[in-house]
Amino acid sequence: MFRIYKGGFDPVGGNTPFRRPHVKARIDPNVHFSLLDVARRLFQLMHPTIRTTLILLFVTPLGILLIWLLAMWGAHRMTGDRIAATNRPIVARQQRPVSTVVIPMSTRSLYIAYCAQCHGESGDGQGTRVLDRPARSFKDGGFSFGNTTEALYRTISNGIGGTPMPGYADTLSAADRRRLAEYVQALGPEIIDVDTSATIMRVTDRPLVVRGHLPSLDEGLPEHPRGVIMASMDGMSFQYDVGETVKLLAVRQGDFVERTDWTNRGGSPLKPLGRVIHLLESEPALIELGERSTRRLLGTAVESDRAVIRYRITSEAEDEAIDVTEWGQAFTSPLGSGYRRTLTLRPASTGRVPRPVLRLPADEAAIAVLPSPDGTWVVSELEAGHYLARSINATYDPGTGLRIPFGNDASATLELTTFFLSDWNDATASMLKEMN
Amino acid sequence: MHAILLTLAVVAQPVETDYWSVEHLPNPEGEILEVGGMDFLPDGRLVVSTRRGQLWTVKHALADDPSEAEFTLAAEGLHEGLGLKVVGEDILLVQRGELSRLRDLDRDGTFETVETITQGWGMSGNYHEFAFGLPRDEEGNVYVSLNVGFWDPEWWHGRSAEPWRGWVLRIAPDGTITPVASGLRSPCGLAIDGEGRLLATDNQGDWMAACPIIHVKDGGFYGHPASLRWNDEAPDEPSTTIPPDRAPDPAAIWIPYAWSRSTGNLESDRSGGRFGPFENQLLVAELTNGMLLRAQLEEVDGVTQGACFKFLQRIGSACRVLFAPDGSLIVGFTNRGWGGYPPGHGLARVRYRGEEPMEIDRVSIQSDGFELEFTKALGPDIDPKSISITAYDYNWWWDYGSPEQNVHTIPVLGTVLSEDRRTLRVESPIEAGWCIRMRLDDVAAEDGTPLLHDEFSYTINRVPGAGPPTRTVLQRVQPPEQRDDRESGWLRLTWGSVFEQWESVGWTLGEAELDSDDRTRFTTREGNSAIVNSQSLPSDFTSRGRFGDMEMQLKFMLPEGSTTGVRLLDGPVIELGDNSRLAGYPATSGALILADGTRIEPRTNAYQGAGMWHELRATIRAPRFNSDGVLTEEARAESISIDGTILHLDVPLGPVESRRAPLAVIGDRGVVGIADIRIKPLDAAWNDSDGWNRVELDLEGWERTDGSAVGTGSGPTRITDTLPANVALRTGIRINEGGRARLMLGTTPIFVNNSFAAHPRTGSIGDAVVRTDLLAAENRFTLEIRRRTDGDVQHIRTLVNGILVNEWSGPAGDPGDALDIEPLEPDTRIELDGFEWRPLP
Repeated sequence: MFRIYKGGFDPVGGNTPFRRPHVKARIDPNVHFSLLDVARRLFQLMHPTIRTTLILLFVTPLGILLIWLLAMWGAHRMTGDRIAATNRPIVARQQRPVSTVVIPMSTRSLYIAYCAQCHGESGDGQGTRVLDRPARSFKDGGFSFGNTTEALYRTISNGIGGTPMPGYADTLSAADRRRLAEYVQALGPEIIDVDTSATIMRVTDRPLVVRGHLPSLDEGLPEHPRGVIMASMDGMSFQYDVGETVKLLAVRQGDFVERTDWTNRGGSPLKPLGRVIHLLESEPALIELGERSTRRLLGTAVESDRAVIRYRITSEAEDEAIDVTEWGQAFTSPLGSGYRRTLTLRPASTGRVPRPVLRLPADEAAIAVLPSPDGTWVVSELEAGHYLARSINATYDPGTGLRIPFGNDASATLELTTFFLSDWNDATASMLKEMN
Repeated sequence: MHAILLTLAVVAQPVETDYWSVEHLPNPEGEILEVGGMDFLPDGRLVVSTRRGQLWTVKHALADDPSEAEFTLAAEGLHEGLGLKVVGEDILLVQRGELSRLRDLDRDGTFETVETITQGWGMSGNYHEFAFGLPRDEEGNVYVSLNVGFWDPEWWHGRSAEPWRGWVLRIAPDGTITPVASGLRSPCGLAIDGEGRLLATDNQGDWMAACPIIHVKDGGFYGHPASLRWNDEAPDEPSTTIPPDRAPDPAAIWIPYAWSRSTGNLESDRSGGRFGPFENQLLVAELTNGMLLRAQLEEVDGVTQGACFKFLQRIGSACRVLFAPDGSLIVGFTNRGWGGYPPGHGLARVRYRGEEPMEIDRVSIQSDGFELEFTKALGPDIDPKSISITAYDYNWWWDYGSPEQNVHTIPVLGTVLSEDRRTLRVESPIEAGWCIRMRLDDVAAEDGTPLLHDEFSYTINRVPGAGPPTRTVLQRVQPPEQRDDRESGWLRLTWGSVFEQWESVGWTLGEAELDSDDRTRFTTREGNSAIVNSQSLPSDFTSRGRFGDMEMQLKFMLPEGSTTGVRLLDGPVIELGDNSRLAGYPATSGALILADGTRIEPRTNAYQGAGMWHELRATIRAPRFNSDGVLTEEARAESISIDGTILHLDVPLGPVESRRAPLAVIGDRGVVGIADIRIKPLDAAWNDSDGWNRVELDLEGWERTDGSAVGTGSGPTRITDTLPANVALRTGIRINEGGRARLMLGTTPIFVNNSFAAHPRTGSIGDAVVRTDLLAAENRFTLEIRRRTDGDVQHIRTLVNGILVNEWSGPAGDPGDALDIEPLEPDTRIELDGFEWRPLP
């Protein structure tokens, strides 16, 4: 009978075709050996059985003592594993706290087989496969296309174009991909103790302004390399493009921003945390100085309890210009909640007196125009059962828009209120007429 | 006796911190200050902007006790702050997308108003589009420098997607922008020196051979072509691989790569002697190696050039330097989340202790050599033999950095010491268009103090009186082969499955860094970046494969005081050693210890110190023996280098008995971290042609191109069906990224897979799986298969690039006389360059 055996270099199972390294008692001329070294050399040259016996006889009691000493030492120095720079390092390994979720071994095996070589065994992005750029660290909890199981499942299935991340739709079953998605998600910060608080900006005792690269707000919408997000004290944040123009892109509610932009290699987009309550990116400009007027950023400031953005609107002929200072806040009413923008306009040019015109974006869809105590409400229907109410503190005609009047101090202050209504009937209409 | 001599030497050898003290300011609690810009406010507060978009003011930054420093967060949420300048009470700050004026109008310490001065440069949103600054000239103009971007898939080509990326801009007080000069890549530092020169540093990479210091002149072009597209004359996007017609203007200084890999900013010493003897010279921040360098410029025929010295090593990831009003130097650290020398953030103060060091103060080029001025009178006369000069130039190409090219020594013909013994003339036949490194051994002052730094580099753009130069430091060369082919021939022996191709006991995989409390140790944690002999009784880390002629590469890192080595050909050892525990004793690695005990010192020291990763490269030739076993050619090291600095050239390796032997990292000496070991066998198959039968690669369904057969996933195809039972087969293969294929030798599959997500990898035989990523996709390699049948058992071995990587045995059954090839994935593209077989005896 012959014995069938596997070859290869599997360090656990099969035979190894290469000779065990022959340990030579070679003495480097530059190194002085002690008796201990010689003894060690002899020891290494012994037959393995004799060596094992010796270990059992002499090393075990010493080992027990050593383990006790190490335990004491380890408890004393809670600063991580240390290795002494000696020939015989003393190693005290402390187990790092890891996931508290029990993960089936088979999923981990899948992860090791398909993911770990780039993303690292622990998901820290430090895989053994050297890539041109580091692979994603799952421990950050940041994922290219979102960190929900669904999003991760999509990424694992389809890969990430332009990166070394392949798609596994053809390689792994849907069930395996889903298990991997859950596993990878579990590697994230919810379980591994990674402090992300340092990257999160929170509004506490004053409003905040952040500048940075803004991620796309929705499929098909662009990123904005130059952006500003301003947080009011009442949990609203206002997200502006300040690159080629100055434009309110979205209003959000909730937490402010995670400064993901400087993590990893730097230069990434910010991660706004608030939920988008109003997406305005596709709407036309609110204020025009004739056709094709331009807007450019003048700056931002925090003034006591409000964060403001300043920008200049210039007419195409550059003969008219106004400077706008704008800030936002939350708005609540018995009918619904939303936000209010306050805009102060001042002429900026010494040439012609500027004649800006304001147009509310939803004019075409208006179903009602109602006077209010200090201005006008315009109500439009977004979709069945969802209505948007906007007000302006002036008499407003959707047909012509509002020619903004400048007061005696050569400035005009506009208040624009926007909120969402889930009902539209005579009762809500009469309530609206009484509201500021 | 040796010990006594060594002790004496240690006592006499001064160290940098004997002359300059380094005090790190305690960071504000829980904060990470990755410093990008620094200046002083009129009231004496230090103001610091960071990569993380914060602005801090620091009271008492110059107090005797650094712990008195009081940090106040003065602004946050900025889009990076990589350069700032105080003007009046305001702060000018360069953010990624604009130049801003930050104001504290209510004087509450918070700079709450951010005014946009200009956004007049393009930003595509690419991560690498950093903006740096911010020196200010006498007219009130400030200067900003802008990075190029790097995109997938060919991320190594820097591109200027938007206006003025790769340029230096001048910005007038009213925000008007004037582009000044182009050709930059990642110009992290700008300064105006005491002579009013605008200077920029850049970072080595594509088209940037090493890190330069550039004297920026109006209209200048400094080598990176991408930015040329915004020139009026060149409206098209320049080629990413073919050098433009326009030759680059010379950099004033090319800093040796071994000294600087990521240069930060630079500042003129205008302290009036309070910082030491180097008035008006430049202090230069270096991030990766964590040191400060010193540079000194001079002009020859209107061209700026000069010398560069090490100044203060192992200080931290220095990115910014600033002279304080009291003549001390403030150093700001940033490692940008990348590998820089620790600490990677925070601030330090460097102060002159007042005792003059023995240094080369200035170097001035002469028509026949150099004049070296020393800070102290020299002791004994200088023997010309104690001075060595190495000259080199660089490739100007798209590849990432350039090795020092055309390295050669130039003779020292004589030395003349001035009457006051402070100026030494070194006579040497120098020529423009070269960089040189000069080393002076055994030079000491009259009082016996040895030189603190015995080496400098000088960039020779012009030689006085020699007229216009006939060559330049940057040499136009044939563009390198495609990046995809660069790894051809290499075996990546620690990729994927780290230990599979090695015999080792007591080595573990993890993250390792120097323990900041005890630098003779590593702190380790979970991870994948270092293989460390961390367990008790570690064996050598010995390759399973046996190598003869080879190029090898290995990354290593040592803690303080540790010594070990890499054994070649079962004999000679390249020593990896750190001597920094012995104060003042130069850290060394790279000595060769031959089997007969001979020790050959490296020609220079390229080892940077403990806790830093170094790249060891060597080209080795095994000995040759005739058929009677008589040695006909000695083994040689063609070259050995660390971090690109050549330490040995063409050195015989003494008595070596093996034609081929494993490579081993010695395990039972000092602790060492190793990584990314690669070997390129230089004696692979194909050399012998005797007895091989060539198979015509006329494969059904496969294309023929340039002698190769190209298959793209159309099922199994027969290569031949005339194979004997005992046979060797060999072929050259190239397989695409994500591709996978198998050869069926009879009924046994042998896999070809260098990048497909799942194992088995190339060289796997049946269920004997290779998990190491030995080969890069898209790179050619040779695969040899040897089959022997022995009764009922067949033995199959695979060799990649001539190196045995796997072996399998199984029941012979009918071994089969056919060989098929089959692409396994639909997107597979596999090229076969020839196919040969021969019977085995």
